[in-house]
Amino acid sequence: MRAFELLVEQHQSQLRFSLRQLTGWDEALADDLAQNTFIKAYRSIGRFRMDSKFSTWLYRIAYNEFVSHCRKNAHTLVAEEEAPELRVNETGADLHRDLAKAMGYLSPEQRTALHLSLHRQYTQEEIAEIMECPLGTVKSHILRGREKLKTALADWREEMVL
Amino acid sequence: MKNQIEDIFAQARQTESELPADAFLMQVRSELLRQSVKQSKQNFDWILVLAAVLASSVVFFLTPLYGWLLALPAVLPTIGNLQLVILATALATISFFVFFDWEFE
Repeated sequence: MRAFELLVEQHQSQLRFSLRQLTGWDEALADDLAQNTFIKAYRSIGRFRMDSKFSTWLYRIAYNEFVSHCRKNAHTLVAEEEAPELRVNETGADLHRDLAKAMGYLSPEQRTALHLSLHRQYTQEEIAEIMECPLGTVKSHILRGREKLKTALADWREEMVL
Repeated sequence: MKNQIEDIFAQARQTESELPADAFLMQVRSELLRQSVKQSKQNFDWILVLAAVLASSVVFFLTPLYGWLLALPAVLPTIGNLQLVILATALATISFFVFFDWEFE
């Protein structure tokens, strides 16, 4: 149990942050999904094969939790009508929240692929492993996600962030 | 815009702060405990059902007409719908065979 707690301590921050990005910065929902992810990981740790990174395996469980939630609650994760204006303060909190809302324009798969690629900097092969889909599909999700995000952030002004 | 999007993500990555673990860890721990207790209770229910089926079968064979009814009141409040269906099916099956044996005699 102590080993499991160490794993939670080590990975919880990144995983919860990622899930916040994917859920439009719904902190309670993201924490619930993260909690389910860790509990499932605890119960199926025996099935983890050492041929991939632990974080990749953990993200695969989290992604399945997220997609499963989206399928059950399609109406709660729809995009807002207006694209948010990106803002930033010293902690970046506004940027994180606004970016998460802008990501709401993307499908769950595009959101995940784009976040894992651009924020977590996973390789496309690792993303394919996490999302359990072909490499070509990952590339397509990233390309289309980037295009949609570009449209959503059309009014974004560079000087507001950089 | 392609670079701008990457810049936004880079900015988000750089400003990402560590989320505190304590409260979350406690939440995960208590949920695990809750699920373990629930699982233990379910296991106990199954043992109870098996014991009830066995006991009611024995009672049934000893007093063929009404004896098995005596075992039910103690068991029914503690079990779920699925287990109740299985218990009823088991009792019905036992009753069926015993009834036909009886008829053949």
